[in-house]
Amino acid sequence: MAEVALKSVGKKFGDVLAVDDFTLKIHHGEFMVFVGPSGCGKTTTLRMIAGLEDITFGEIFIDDRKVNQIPPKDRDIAMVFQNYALYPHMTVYQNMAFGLKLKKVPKDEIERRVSQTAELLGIFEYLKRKPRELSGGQRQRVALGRAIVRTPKVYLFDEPLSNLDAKLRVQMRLELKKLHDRMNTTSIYVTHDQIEAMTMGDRIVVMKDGKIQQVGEPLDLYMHPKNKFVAGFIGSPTMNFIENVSIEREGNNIFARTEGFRLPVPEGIKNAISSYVGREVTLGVRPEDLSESGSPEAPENFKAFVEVVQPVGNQIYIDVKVGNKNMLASISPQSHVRPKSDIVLGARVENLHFFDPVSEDAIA
Amino acid sequence: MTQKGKEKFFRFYLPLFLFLIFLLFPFYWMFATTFKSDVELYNLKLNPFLIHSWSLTNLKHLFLQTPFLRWLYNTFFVAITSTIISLSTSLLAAYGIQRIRFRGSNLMGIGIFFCYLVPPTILFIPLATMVFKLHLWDSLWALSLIYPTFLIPFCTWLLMGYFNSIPKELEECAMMDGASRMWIFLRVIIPLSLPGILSAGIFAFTLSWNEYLYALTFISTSLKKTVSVGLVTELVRGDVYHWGPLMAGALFGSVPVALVYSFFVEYYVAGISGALKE
Repeated sequence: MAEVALKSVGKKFGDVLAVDDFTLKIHHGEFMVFVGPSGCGKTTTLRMIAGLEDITFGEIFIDDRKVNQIPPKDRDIAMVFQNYALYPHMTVYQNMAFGLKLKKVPKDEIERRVSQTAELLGIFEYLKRKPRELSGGQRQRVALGRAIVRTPKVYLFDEPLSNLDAKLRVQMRLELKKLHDRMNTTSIYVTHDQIEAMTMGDRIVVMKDGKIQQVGEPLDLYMHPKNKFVAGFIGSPTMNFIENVSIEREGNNIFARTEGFRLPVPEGIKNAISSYVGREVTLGVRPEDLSESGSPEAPENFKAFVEVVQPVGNQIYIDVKVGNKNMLASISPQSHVRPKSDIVLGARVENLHFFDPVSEDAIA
Repeated sequence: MTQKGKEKFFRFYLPLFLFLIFLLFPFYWMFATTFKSDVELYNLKLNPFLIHSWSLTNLKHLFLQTPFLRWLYNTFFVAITSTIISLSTSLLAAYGIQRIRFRGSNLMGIGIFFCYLVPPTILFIPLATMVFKLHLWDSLWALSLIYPTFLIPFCTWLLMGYFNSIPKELEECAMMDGASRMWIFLRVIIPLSLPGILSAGIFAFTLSWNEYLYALTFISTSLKKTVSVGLVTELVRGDVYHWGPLMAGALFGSVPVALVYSFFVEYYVAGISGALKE
C-alpha cells in the first residue's frame, strides 16, 4: 500500500513537451487509470513513475519519499508491460522467481510464494514451461504473476490487455479487478480503451497532448465531462456534437435551436448558458439519450430521417439526418424502424451538454 | 511426371542443380587434383575431370615436406584469439551503443562503421609501423591484435542489429526487479543473443581464417605463417606451381571452415536475419 503523488511533473523529448504540468494524488489502494489517445503522454507519465524515464520538471513522491533520482529497483514497484516482457529463455517459474532471487529471498520462501501466486492465477501447471509454449492469455497471467509475487507497494500496468483478443480481454479485465479488490494495492493502469478505463478505474485521468483534461470517477466523467474532448472520449458510441446551435431566450425559457430542432435548455444550466443567448454553442447529445418517440409536438421531440440501421442486439444504432446534421441514436431493439424513412426522436434534455465553441469547455 | 512436378523440376530443381555444380566445382577440382599424381595431372590426353589412378604423393608432400600442420595450428590460433577479442569487445560496444543511450552513441556507431570502410591495402602501412614499435613483428599476436580492426566493426554492427530485436521491456522489467546493468547483460541479453553472437563469431572466425594481406605483410618466418600465406609462398616457387600439394593444402585448409559453418548453420541464418523467437 502506498500513496503516489505527482507535482507539476513534465517531460520533454528534445523540443517536444510530452507531459505538461501533471499534478495528481493517487491514494492508498486506489485503482487509477490513465486514459487518452495514443501520444497523449500517459505511458510517458507511467514510465516516469516507474523510473524508466527521467523527469524533466516537477517531483514524484511514493509514500512521501521523493523518487526523482531513485533508480527503478529501489522504488518498490512492479510493472506489467503490453508485450508481457517475459524472459523467453527462462521457464515460467524462473520468470516469476527472478525478482525474488535478486532480492536474495530464501529459496523455500521463493518456492512457496511462486506456487501460491501461480495457484491464484491458475498457471500452476505451466510453471515448468517456457513462455513460447503458452497462449497470449497465459503469458499475460505469468507477467501478472511475476509482478504480484514481489508484493510491491505499487503496480504499474502499461496497456496489459491490448495484445489479447476481445473475449479474453473482457475476462482478464474482470480478473484484474477482482485481484485488485483482493490485494488492495495501489495500481496505476494505462490504456487507450475508454471501456477498460470506465470498468476498472476507481478514478480516471483523461489526458490529451500531455495535459490532464479531467480527473474523476468513471460515472462522473460520463455525466459531467469538463470539456468536449472528455465528452467525446468517454462513452461508446461517442457523443454527437452539433455545431452552430443558437441559444435563444423566449420568456422564461431558453432554447437551443438549429435547423431541424429546437430543444429546451434544462433548468440546471440555464444560469450558466444565459450569457450565451444570441450566440452559438456546440451541443452534445449521447446516442443513448435519444429515443424513438410518438408525437412530434412535445418540446423535446424532433423529426429525423433514418439513413442506416445497425442492430447490435440489445439495442439498435440508427444514423439519422436532422436538417443538414448527422447524428447517431441508440434506440430500443423492439423498434420497427426502417432505413430511408422518417422517425420522431426524443431527447433526454436533462442530459444535454453544451460547450463553448472556442474554448470547448463545458458550459455548466 | 505430372504437369506440376515437371514445372517444379524446371523452375526449382534444375536451376538449383546447375547452381550447385557451379558452386561446388572448385571443391571437386581441388579434391581431384589432390589425389592425382603429377604424371596424370600433366597428361593432356586424359579426361581432367576424372581420377584415373589414385595417389597420395601430394598429401605426403604437403604434410611431410612443408610445415602445413604448423600453419594450420597458427591459423587456428590467430582465428580463435582474434575472434575472442573481437566478440568480447563488440558485445560490450554494441550493447553500449544500442541500449545505453549516452551522448554521441549514434555518432560512435557510425564511426565504428567507417573504420570498416578503410581498405586494408591502405591500413597496413600505418599498422606496420605500429606493429614494429610494439615489437610484434613476425609474431602471431600481431595478427591476433590486427584482425580485430576489421572484425570489431563488423561484429559490432551485426550485434547492434541483433540487440535491437530484443524488446527493451525485458531489460526494463529486469531493472525494476533489481538487476544491475551487468547482470542484465550477462543473464538476459547474452542468452537471448546466442544466435547473433554465434553468427558474429562464425563470421569473425572465417574472415580471420581467410585473411591474406596482413598475414603476408607481418609474418616472414615460414613456421609462423598461416595456411593462406604459407601455401602460396612455399608451394609456388617463382613461376613453378606445385599444383598437387597446393590443391591438397587448399582442400584441407577449407575443411575446418566448412565444418564450423555446417554445425552452426541454423543459428547463423537466425543471427543474420535477427530473428528472435519469443
